[in-house]
Amino acid sequence: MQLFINGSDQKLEVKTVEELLVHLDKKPAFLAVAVNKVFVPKNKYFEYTLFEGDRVEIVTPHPGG
Amino acid sequence: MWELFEKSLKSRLLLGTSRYPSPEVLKKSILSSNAGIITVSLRRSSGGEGNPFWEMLNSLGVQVLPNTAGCHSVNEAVTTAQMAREIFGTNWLKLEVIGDDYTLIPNPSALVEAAEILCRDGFEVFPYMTEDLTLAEKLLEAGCKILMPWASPIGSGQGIVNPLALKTLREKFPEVPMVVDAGIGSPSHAAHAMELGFDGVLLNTAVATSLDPIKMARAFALAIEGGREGYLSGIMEQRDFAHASTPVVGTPFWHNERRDDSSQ
Repeated sequence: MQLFINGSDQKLEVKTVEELLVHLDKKPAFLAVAVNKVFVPKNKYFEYTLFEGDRVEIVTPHPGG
Repeated sequence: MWELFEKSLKSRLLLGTSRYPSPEVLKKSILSSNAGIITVSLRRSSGGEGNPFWEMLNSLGVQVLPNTAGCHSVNEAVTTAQMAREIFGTNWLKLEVIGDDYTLIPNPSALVEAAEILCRDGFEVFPYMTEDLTLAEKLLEAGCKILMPWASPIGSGQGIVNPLALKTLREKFPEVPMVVDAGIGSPSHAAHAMELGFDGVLLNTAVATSLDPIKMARAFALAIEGGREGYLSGIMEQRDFAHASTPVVGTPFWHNERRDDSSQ
């Protein structure tokens, strides 16, 4: 399945946000997720199904003004 | 100390965390600034490891204010805000909805729309705005309990370019907490904002890009404290003419000198 992860397209065999984060080896404590510009809360990672062409943003704290 | 939304803040300085020469200098600058609030942002995650920046802020126990910097639409700003609330564990939000990339001027209609949605959703929205009076009214109607008018464009260091408009805002909404955000270049600019009666000053670039950010952070802390004390003490009215501060009565040689002058 083709997904756009933080702007770059990748072919990955994952079904949910949880599986995606495990695959990418990301620690949920330091990140938040949006799919197609909609926020996905942490407690929905297991059930949130990803579909072909979904645009996933995975963000983390960063310096800012 | 500054009481804001049931929190006791260490000071009226809000300090940004971007553009410092190193994480160590950032940490020391935060400490020397004694900032009451520290602003942060969200960006795309590039690695799988922890987040040293966030761990450092956590170790300092500072009050953070996440921003929605770089958002150009209501949808982007709202989604970013929701992600920020989850990660940072606070409902405080510096709402930025940019309308123009050259000036980084906020988009007023999108700002009000996003503020309305976020206030309804339980956020304490700190809107980054121009000094426009009608925009301030609309943001308050949208549910904002604090306003953050700019001094001048972000990162320009020009200081307060429209003091009359800021003064008008202050007089029109005396009970609303207001922070001057963006465009502050030197400590005197920050003191100026505080002397106008603003409740706080938010700045980043002026400290981060100075030759000595740690010292500059302290300079701003002192300026903000001085400006606040000055405002509370009642600043004198300006006059067009001189008015001797030393009493004239009892001046030695006064009459003699006048006579001498007239005899020449």
